[in-house]
Amino acid sequence: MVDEIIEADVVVIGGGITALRAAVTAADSNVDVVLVDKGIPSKSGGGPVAFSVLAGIIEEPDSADVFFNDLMRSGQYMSNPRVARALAKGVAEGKVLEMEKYGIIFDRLPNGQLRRYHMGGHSYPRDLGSFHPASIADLLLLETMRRDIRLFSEVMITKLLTYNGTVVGAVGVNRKDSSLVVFRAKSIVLAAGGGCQMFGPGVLGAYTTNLLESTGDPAAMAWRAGAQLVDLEFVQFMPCNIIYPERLRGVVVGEPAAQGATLYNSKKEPFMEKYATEGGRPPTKDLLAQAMMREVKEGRGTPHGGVWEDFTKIPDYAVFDHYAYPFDELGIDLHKDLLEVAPAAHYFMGGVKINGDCSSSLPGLYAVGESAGGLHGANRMAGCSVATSIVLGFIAGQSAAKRAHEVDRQGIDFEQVHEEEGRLMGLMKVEKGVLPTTIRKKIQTIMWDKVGVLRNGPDLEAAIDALERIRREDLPSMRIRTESTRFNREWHEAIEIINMLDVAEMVARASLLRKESRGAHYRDDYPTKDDEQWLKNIIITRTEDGEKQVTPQPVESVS
Amino acid sequence: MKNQHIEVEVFRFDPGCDVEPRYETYSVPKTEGMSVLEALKYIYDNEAPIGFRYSCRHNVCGTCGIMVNGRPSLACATTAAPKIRVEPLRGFPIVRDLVVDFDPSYFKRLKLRPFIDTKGAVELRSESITYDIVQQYKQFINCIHCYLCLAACPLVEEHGHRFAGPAIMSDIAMQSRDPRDKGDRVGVAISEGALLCDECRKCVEVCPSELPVDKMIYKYFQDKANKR
Repeated sequence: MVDEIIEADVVVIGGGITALRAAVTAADSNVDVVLVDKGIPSKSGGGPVAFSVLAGIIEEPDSADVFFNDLMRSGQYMSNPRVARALAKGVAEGKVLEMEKYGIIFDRLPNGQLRRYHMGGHSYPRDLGSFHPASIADLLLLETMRRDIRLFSEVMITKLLTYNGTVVGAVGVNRKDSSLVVFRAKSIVLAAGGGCQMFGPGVLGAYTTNLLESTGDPAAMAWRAGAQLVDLEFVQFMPCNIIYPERLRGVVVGEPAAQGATLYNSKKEPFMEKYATEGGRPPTKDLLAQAMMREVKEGRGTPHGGVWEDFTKIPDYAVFDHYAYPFDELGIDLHKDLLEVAPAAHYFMGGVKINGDCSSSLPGLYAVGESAGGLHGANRMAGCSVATSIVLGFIAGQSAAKRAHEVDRQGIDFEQVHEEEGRLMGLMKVEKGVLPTTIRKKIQTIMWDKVGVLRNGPDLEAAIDALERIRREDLPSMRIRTESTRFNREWHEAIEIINMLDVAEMVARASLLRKESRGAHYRDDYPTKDDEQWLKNIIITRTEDGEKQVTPQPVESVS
Repeated sequence: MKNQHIEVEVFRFDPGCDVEPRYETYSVPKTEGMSVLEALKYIYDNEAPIGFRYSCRHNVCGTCGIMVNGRPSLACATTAAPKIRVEPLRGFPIVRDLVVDFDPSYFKRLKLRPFIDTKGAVELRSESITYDIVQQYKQFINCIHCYLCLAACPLVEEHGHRFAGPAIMSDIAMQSRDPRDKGDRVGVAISEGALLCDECRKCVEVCPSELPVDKMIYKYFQDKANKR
């Protein structure tokens, strides 16, 4: 039974910096905007866990062109040049800096000048400091209040509604009371993050820096609606994150080069020299993560599957400034003890394939931020995640509003709504079987062991088999222990797992197809980059019988 | 450490079908430095589908606030004692078990019109933003709006309708430090009960970001009000 039908010009799905920025921008174009978030707006998304620097200022001799070239080089020429150009142009035009009009303050030096950072991959110091990116989300939340934007907090969108190939709405469940909400809109903006929670079976969450909500919902829903996805094989792993004690798993502690720390394997050998790069420059994130996992794979890992990071020689732990981690209570003394660290899934470069205006291959559907694919190519450059949220979030909001001014609101096909309702309610009815939390851990184990930092053909094939077996054997018997209509976490988890499984399979299939190593995608059986064969993106579409079709397509040329 | 267990007494209540709340006790095998959140996750994974909320796991998102042995706490940032009683955060409508509805706080913040009020265009890279202003701003952005301070505040409990409480006021306290802001923040603060605060510091005691909440918000507005 549909409990509520919400009509709007633009519906933004998500609640982080990207979604809030898109919603605020669209509202400024004089359209009626609704924001729907699976979590609590401004508390979900990457903001709370993101780093405090963002590309934000371009001044002579730096230019949009130089920034664009940096993006293309860092993305190892997999990026869609039109989207990369949009980011570079937006930053050069001051789209990041203009956030100060919302009361956001970027860091200043004692002399009052903007503090600027020169981050890896950038030709010039164009990064600004924002202390705690959650503050950007929070101040954008205040801007939604100024514009009377309707927020739907903890409403989980489960399906995009289409009509003749156009996206015309969405269905969601209110997590607090299980009511079914239908949204009808002229434009839908997907800004609900990536799928990093699929990697590694941690107790509280995956081996990831991301929040619990990152379960691949946007990619899965867009794919089911018929949209093209791209670059799913490229998942960025942050190299150095605490893995033990379990309570601190996923806390980023910074790279040795930046922190002046040293990495050791289980034999207490400082192994990084083996992986030294040309000219003695510190390795990039992808190479560092691969070197660490190589030590683990070859039997020189720590008890919990990582390596040791030594901070004892550093007098000042600036890296831990933001957060009050309870090292004392956990019996860790950073002056004496080494930390067990390992890579963790950090950012999905892939997602819904977008154009320079954030439109997808489906009319009415826009995607932006981690939900979108094509901007960061094979590797995302430092400081470009929040910058993307702000600049592309603006563009997505504008494009969605523009369409809303141009088209009429379409009718909803209620058969699709009822079918979705049947699917969701059906999940509640299974009485004997496997718990969602068990299936989640199975997927996470497969993805970490076989589709993680170091990949190879046989492992990827085994992963696809194992994921298909979960779909065949476990999904039909996924059991929910309570039929409670109030914050039924287990039911929500079941819905998420179906999304996660679809996207996990796409990541594995795209990784198997790409027979080379490039950026974040590394294959032991094809350890080098192959520009002859692989200056191609992998496009994922849905076949008529619901299969995942992976097709290589030559990259778009730079014009 | 081996074979040690902690005893967790969990508030269980589903307003959709239960007549009244009850407490259920679970025995949880202790792991090194186990947090209350880890204990709850153990119960959820192995014992019963209890209702609880969390997201970031690391003291940043502020969604896992509950009462632990009567004290407002973030479940993720609190080490589990051998015997604990966990209840929903005080002062909020209960959704189920330990999950409360934070929407009332959103609407309270909304009511204060907390966005920057510049009465016109804002100058970017404004010279009025000095290093000192940045330091003050930094304190405020460390408020993660977890609302533990609201649950701890005796005035909110007693005079909720005329005392908005710290996390609700932190937005306007932040704006009033911004030289570009022209809103009458002091006037709003007074009407929201800023003068009632007697600095009992209960909010400071529970703040996971260890902010001097009383000084940042109430002492500041009281001093401003006195100068009027």
